[in-house]
Amino acid sequence: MMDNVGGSSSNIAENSGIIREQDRLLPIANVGKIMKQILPPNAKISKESKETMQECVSEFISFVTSEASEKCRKERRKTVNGDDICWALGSLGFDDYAEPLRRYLQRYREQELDRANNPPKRG
Amino acid sequence: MEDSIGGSSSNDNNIIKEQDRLLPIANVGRLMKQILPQNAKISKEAKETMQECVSEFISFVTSEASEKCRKERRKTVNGDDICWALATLGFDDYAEPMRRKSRTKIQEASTNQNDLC
Repeated sequence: MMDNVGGSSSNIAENSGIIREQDRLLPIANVGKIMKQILPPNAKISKESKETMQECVSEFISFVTSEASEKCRKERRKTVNGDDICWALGSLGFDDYAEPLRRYLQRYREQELDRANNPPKRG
Repeated sequence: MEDSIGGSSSNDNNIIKEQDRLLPIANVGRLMKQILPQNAKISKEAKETMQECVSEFISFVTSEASEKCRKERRKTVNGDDICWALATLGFDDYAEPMRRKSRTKIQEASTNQNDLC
């Protein structure tokens, strides 16, 4: 894994090779909100720890997406799907994540199918 | 890791709103898009899977950092706690670059402070 956290880009701002901070990182408020849900009510989170987590999450997404993308490239497919993400997680050693996410994906697909078969009635 | 993706909550009401539990899908998709070749596409399902995954990742790391703070009787989780949690959970590849980045930020901040004096 590279030290220049944030990964490379094929979607570069104004062709200058520089990715804007807001495109490279996820919103700090949302990251902080998720962290806060895990902590005891009296605990606090420093700005520095939110920023560290922000960087880390970006790198995690880049890492997993890159692996999924490589699988699609080898299989000559243009669209990355949920199974590719699950496969990438397993391949990168995040086995604890991959299995629950496969189950999530199965439920998600069942719901989508149900929605397609039973469209909401318009009053 | 349990099957009920999303982790526990410190809220009194154990039901967490979807927008508080997940990161914005547009931002997640944008980050993923930066990694892919220009002609590649990402399904909505892939973005939503990544969304769930990222929330679980944050919960997992924060939980470990929180436990360290509890044992050390500290109320504030800081950057070093996150780096320590990453290393403890086996994300060693992440921990070191994060530590370096954190140190650089602190140095920059103190330099800026000195410039103001």
